[in-house]
Amino acid sequence: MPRPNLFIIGAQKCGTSSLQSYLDLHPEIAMTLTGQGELPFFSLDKHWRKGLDWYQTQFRDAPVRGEKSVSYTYWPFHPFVPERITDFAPDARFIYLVRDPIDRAVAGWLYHQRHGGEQRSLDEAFTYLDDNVHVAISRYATQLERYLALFPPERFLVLDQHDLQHDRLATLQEAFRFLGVDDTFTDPRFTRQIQVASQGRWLSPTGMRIAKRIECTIGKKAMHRLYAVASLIPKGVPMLERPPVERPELSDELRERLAAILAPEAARLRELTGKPFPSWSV
Amino acid sequence: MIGARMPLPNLIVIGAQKSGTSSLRTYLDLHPEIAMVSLEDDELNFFSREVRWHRGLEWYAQRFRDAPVRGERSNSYTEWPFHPCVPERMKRVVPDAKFVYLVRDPIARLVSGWRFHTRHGEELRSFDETFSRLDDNLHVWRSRYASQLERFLPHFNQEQFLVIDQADLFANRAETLRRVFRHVEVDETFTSAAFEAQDRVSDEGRWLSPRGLKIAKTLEHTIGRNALHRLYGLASFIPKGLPGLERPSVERPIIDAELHERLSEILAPEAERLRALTGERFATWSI
Repeated sequence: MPRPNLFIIGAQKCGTSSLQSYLDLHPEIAMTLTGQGELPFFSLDKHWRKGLDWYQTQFRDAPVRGEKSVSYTYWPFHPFVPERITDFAPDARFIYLVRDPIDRAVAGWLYHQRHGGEQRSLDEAFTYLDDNVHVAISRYATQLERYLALFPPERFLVLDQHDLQHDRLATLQEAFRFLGVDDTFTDPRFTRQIQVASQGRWLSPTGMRIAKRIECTIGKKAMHRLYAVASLIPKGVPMLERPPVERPELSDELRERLAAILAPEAARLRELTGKPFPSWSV
Repeated sequence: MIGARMPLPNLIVIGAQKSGTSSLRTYLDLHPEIAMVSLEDDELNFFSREVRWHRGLEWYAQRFRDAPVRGERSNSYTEWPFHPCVPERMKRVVPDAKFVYLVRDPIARLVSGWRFHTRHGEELRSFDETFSRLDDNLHVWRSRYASQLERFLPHFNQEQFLVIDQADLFANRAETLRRVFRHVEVDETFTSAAFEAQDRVSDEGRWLSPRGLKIAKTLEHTIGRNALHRLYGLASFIPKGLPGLERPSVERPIIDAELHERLSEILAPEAERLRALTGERFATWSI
């Protein structure tokens, strides 16, 4: 059975779904579950318990067999991911798509607001930063260092979402070269932004509950099935929808506290990758 | 952020999984001075799971009824390092709470945990495959009682913790419950006829096939999910004797000498440290 040799390990809210879809267009690359989300096998015990035999059935045969799971870079919230991968796929390559770390942390908070899990205001959610998953996910250097302890650095390609959006073809070519596949391949769909997560609906707790019931009843594949299910919820029924939460402005005080943690992380990432990430705020 | 009038809990049963915490919760809830969170909300997992933690303190506080002792139990509070921030968060939110840690023979617990997940269709690995790796094994970490407790101790006074053995809860129930009542400072003379009954033995019950499980789970989601163990009740809706919906129960796995040694290497020092920490003997344990 084919084992994967490519892992897109994150980061959450950095465009990994789009990247996965672009890569999957390449004839030498077969991503698993494209369009259906993720199988966070090495991070979530509920998947890990299904066993390696089950996991391997998820992959198709191709020179590059890949999966993406953003929770592979949630350390310490999902420990042991690099350890589990190194025992299973010691020759794997990794792509880590990142973006401005402060923007990402806020985007993570906003995403969970929308999906009903995050009920805290921005200020409450970021009162404490040391045990904060939104902050942990933006600590790119720390996440990467967990892997670098077990894999050689040439197995990693760190990409900036900014480049994927503004210079898509060159960024994808960089990924193709990294994966050792034909880098002259192109597809008309490369010019389109494939998935914008914010295009979905904002449901009220009641609407969310109904959507989840439907989802559970017809079978749950992945969280973003919810988008599709949400479209079954009739529009214009006030009790089922809620106004979208606008992306809030960060106070100077919070921005400063986040920068105190995330600026050194960004500096370390620049050192590790040799990339300048010039558009970032830290 | 932490309002003085929020009815936050002052009793938390922190685990361990498959050690009788559900029964303990039921017994404690019988006491007139103790109000455990409702069965509907049982296992809030507030400090452990990000999806719950993100609901915020107000949501958490709303789960508790007013009573001298307000309690919750969530076994995932002793699943370090899989839930890495539990003691730190508790220190912030409930610094003066009393904690009860119900434990049992660490190897028997781990076997029971594996059977439990197998039975619910969540563990698809054979027993041997599951325990081929021990370092990153959740079943093993749940049995590393000393490591779990040691995560809490730097943040709290040791007197805030009561560690009890499931064997005592089963064999000397009234006396063991009195110890818990004393620990949380309620009337320890309280007794109930229901103390005599063993609340629930979750290793009993029906073994559903993947298909039967799917139907039961769909039913569960449709009529509303209370807690995982609703499933036990729901399984009884699945008609008996229908082919394809049931499967033979998984035999209690045999631990061969090699695995026993590997497990003991990790769990025996843990048991020793727990004995040293608590002064208890845990005389019935295999290690």
